[in-house]
Amino acid sequence: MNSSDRRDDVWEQVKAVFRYELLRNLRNKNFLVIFLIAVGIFSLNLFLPPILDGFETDPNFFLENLNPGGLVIMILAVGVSMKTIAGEFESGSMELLASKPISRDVIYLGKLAALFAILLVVYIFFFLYSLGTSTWIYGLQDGLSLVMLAVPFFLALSSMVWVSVSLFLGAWTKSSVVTVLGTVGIFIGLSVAAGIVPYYSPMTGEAFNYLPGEGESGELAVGDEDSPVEGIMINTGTDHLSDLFVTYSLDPETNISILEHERGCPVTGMGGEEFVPGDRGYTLSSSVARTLMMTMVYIIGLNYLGILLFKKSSIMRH
Amino acid sequence: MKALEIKDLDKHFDSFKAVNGLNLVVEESEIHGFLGPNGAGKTTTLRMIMGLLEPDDGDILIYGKNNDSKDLDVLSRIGYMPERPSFPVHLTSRELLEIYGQTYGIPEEVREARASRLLNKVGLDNYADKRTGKFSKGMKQRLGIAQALISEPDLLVLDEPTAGLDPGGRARMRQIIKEIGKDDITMLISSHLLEEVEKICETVTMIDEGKSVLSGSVEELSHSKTVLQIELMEITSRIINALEDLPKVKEVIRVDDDKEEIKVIASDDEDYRPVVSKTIVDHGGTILKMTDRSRSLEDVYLEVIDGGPEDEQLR
Repeated sequence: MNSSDRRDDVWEQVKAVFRYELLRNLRNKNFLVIFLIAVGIFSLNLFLPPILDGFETDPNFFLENLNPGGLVIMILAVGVSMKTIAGEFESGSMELLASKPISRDVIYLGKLAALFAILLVVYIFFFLYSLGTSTWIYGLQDGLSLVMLAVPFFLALSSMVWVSVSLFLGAWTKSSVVTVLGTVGIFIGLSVAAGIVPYYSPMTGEAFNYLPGEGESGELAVGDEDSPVEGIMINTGTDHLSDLFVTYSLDPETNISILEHERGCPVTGMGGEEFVPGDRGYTLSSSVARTLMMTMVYIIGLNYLGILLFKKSSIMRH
Repeated sequence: MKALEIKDLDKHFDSFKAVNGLNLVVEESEIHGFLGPNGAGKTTTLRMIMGLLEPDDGDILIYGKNNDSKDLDVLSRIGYMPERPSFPVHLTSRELLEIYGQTYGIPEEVREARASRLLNKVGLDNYADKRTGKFSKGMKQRLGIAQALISEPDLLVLDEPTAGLDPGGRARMRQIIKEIGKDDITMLISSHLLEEVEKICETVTMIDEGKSVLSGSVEELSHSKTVLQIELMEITSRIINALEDLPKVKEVIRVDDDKEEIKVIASDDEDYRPVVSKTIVDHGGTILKMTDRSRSLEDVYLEVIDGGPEDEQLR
């Protein structure tokens, strides 16, 4: 077999695993349940404010709600990936797949590609759903641009960070229960820590920009009324790559002022009246670059480790 | 040519030695039975052949090439059906066969046609578009065979293909395997069901505690000796000892603790009935029934496995 034949075969194998994972996931009732839960949470974001505050026009609503939130991003990631590796070990179906003349790298990467494709389609739906309901409830929206078409792609990338955590845990433990509890536990742990730790130790807030999740909370272009993104609240973690990217494309020169507690302690992800823009901040460009870099570091790093563990796995029933 | 050769294969799990210096040879076009009690190391050995487990030591040569590092070219020549095959429950049997075929690089039109033909061959053509989650155990076993054949392999490895099936399911599976055997394919069939292996296989290797204890052709092993099955009024140690002392009597086995029945195994195929009858009567025994029959694989198995490991290489 020459190298061209081998390349063709590998491409066919990637397509085979891609189709296998796509069908396995999309026909699973659990996926539908997770999807509906995510839609439900996102719908609360969209519908609750007008229900509570009255139906007033808000031309920036879509721009301010491009991101369905860290919880939805994590839930969708865990929903699609919890059985991808661990579930196949548990059911025994991995034995047949791994007995074919296909390398473990190809199995892993084919599955990863399928998960990305599923998430991309889900986020395209979320994008259209959000645009439609924002226009319906709050009137015509400002700041719409073609660059916003990239939002589903960046949301899928944000979810892939949690997918990577989930696949790594699945390849390591071969248990879907540990995979789910581990990923959700890390998400909750980091979210709680990001809310509490900087309150007592203000300088530690920046560290959360280097961990998966929400990162720090800030306000864009404070006091700059010429900026199209003036006054928009934003987070700086891997879950918010999409909104960082879009706001950066709308006003590349703007800055993020990190919110601080009125007593002077920076906080993350909490919001509320007691939090105001403080002295600390970043340029939006540096924040986008850092978040994109950290997203890719987690996706590449965790999946590299996941592949190593998967390749070393003995295929037995668990 | 040797389709499969295993040399001094070792595998342990913590302190448990699952496979312990195993040797095995399967010649091309041969249907080879891999026999042993539960826990003897059969499934572990097959998983090492398929590259699913790493051996601790030893060599696995498939058509002369070593497969200890999961050589994809080697694997492309093998079809494998695990014990109790498990499939993703949301895919149909046709989709699965096509996807598995695609992993071998089989062109789309060829794999579609082959999937239909194989589903027909194993009697699943009416269930081609049903999801495998709704399949019975027997249907899963048959789909297991079909997926193992999707690449038209040179070597087919089947792990307990009839395990857990009802008599009808076993007969059907046996028929399928026999039909596959007509295609001049090499097969290694692991089983602990002796009758099945005797009906299907040409050669066997028996293993116990991870070691090969006997190998040879079913014909050689079954007919090289005489077995007398004798029902007595009462079995005494005097009779047993006297029979064991007879020249050319290789073994005397009590068939069952609840029955007064023994098997006398002689080392050639002469008629031993007169001398055995006389010995029993001379030592105070009463014969109720005596049958002379050719030795079955079960007799060989009981001698070698239950009677303790014994190195006997017949070829």
